[in-house]
Amino acid sequence: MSNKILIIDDEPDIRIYLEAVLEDSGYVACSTDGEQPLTDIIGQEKPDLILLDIMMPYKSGLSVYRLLRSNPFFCTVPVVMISGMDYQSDFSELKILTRLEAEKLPHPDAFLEKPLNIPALLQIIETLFKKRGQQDVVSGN
Amino acid sequence: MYPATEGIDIWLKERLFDAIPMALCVIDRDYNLIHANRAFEQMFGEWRNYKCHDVYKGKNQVCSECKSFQTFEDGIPRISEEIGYIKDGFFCRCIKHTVPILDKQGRVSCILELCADATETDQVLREYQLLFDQVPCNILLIDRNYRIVKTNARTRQTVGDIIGDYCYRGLKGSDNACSECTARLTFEDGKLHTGHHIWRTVEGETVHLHVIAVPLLQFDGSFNIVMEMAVDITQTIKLERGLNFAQTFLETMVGTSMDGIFAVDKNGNVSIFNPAARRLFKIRENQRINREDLEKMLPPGAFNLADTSTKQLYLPDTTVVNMQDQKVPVRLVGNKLLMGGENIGVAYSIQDISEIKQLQNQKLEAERLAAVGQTVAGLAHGVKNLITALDGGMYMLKTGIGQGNIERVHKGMEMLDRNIERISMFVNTFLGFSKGRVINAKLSNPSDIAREVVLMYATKAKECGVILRHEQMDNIKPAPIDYESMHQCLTNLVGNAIDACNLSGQSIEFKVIIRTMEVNETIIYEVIDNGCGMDYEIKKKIFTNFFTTKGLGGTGLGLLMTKKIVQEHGGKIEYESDPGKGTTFRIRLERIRLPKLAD
Repeated sequence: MSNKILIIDDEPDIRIYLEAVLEDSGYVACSTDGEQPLTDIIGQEKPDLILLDIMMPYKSGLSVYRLLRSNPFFCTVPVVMISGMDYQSDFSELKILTRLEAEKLPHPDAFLEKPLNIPALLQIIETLFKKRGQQDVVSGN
Repeated sequence: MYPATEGIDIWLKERLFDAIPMALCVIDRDYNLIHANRAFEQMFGEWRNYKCHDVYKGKNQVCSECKSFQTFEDGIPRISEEIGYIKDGFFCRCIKHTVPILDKQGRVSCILELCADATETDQVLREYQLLFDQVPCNILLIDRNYRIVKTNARTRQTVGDIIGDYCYRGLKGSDNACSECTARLTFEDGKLHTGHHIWRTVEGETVHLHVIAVPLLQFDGSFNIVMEMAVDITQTIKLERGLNFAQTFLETMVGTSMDGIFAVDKNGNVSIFNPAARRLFKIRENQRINREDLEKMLPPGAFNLADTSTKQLYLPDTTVVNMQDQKVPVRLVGNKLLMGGENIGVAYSIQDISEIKQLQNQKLEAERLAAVGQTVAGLAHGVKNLITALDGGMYMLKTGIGQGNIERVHKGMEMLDRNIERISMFVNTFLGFSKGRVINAKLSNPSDIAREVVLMYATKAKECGVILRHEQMDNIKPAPIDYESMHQCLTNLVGNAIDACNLSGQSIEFKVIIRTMEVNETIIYEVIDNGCGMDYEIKKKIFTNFFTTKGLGGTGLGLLMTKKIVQEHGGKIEYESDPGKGTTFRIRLERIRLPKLAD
């Protein structure tokens, strides 16, 4: 069975783009703009991986990440963070990782910057699924 | 006329008694008045067939302590002071001599009493003593050895009992005579001398006195006593010193102040004009300034403050004209000088704000350039999103063609179209921001701006199911505001508020309220919504460049522009927001900080 990937991004064109790319690569893709209650969507879709945009309307990707990691049902779902902010921004990779460390939260599984390098994104996703498969074998799932 | 020698015995026997100018009477052992002279009758009235106590005191029994009784007993003559005798119906004071009259056997058969009226003398003495003690100055008598002979009550209160002591020791605690001794000078030349002395009080404090020394002359013009009268001037000296300090302080402050200070009296004549004011108005050091000059130099209405009911004039940004007919931007404050409610003139303080204005302009320009700089840096973010979306469009187009999927081709085309249009909007807005716009303040009604924005958004709000309302306080006076810019600010805020309602997942009646009010000379706009609110990270970023939460719909410049415009009006923008509950944006425009009206 194909792995399911949930895209959380407020920009509809990017959602369409990523859904197409992921489906073309053999994954099942679904998306949300981040405004609907996430726990409902995740509970309903049961994604194997989440692509999470940082800058979203009235709620940042960071807040969503905190929510995911504090929920016992979703805390193990791999998350790839995507940001378009430069290194000076409060939402740069370095600053986000520093803040997560300060809050004693784990780093996201991967961090990608826009514009997206699609082969790199697909490579990361594949690696994460492989890693997870190995973990499942070890744990006997 | 002297009586003839041969008749002297007769005269002594018959006339002397009446001729003596003192009240004389003879009383027997039963206290009956048996003889009295004319002076007695004049002093005490009818005496015949009366007893002495009847006549003296109107009493019907012998007085206690009666001197005549004692003399009858022991035969010793006495002199006594009698108080309470009645003379012409009034009490009087007498000096009474009680003299025994002896019979042939040497027994006291009668008493001769001589009464001298001392009422007036006593009164004078009392008055003198009262004056001496109660006069509001210290009085002391000093002899030629500088020993104090007498002091009045006030002196005793001040320095204690120092009678018999040397004046320099008793008054000053010194073992040596003073070098500038007023008493010595008076002893030397017999004239009045004055001086400033410092005494030590019984409490050990120091008091300052103005001393006048005069000789206490005897009948022959000689004197051995000097009277010193010393008035306590400690408080006067303190006040004088305080006054001197205040005057020196004031003169120094006014003279060295970096601000111009000048004053006019109630007739408008210039009474003070400090060096800083001369520099500001370009007036030479010795050049006189008259009221006409000043009236010409000050802005209209500033000179005539004294004629108005206003107590203070505050012009934070005005212009004066100096003596070389050049306009100088200044801050001018005028205060009416009132003494006990009476107007005695006006004091002005003036500051040249040319440099401040120049710095303000430079700061604004620097802020604008910095904002542009930051914006350019932040542009990458916007561009990255656009590139991603364009990549997406191209991907959809290519793969659609490759797969023969016409629907995907169409989607790709739409994505490309949308994002190309977005690039165009982005570039235009950015160019507008980077160019900036000069604030063009016109006298505008603050409520009108809000009302117009509400009208403009009425249709959109209705379509979105949002109740949009304007609430305004009455009587907000017009203010110098750039109408278009402020309109743009409120448009941004109201647009955001409606979007926030659209984004909220709650099923409630959505409202956007715009309030216009004025509190303490500050015009306030509030834009309140009960939309989705903002979380912490979003709140932190809302005024930064190119921050947008609206995906394809926003450029990220709206709030940045709003903040910039508010700042250019000397105002502040603040907000409160609760995720899921709503947001309130508040613009505060203090009237005194608003820009000057455009010419």
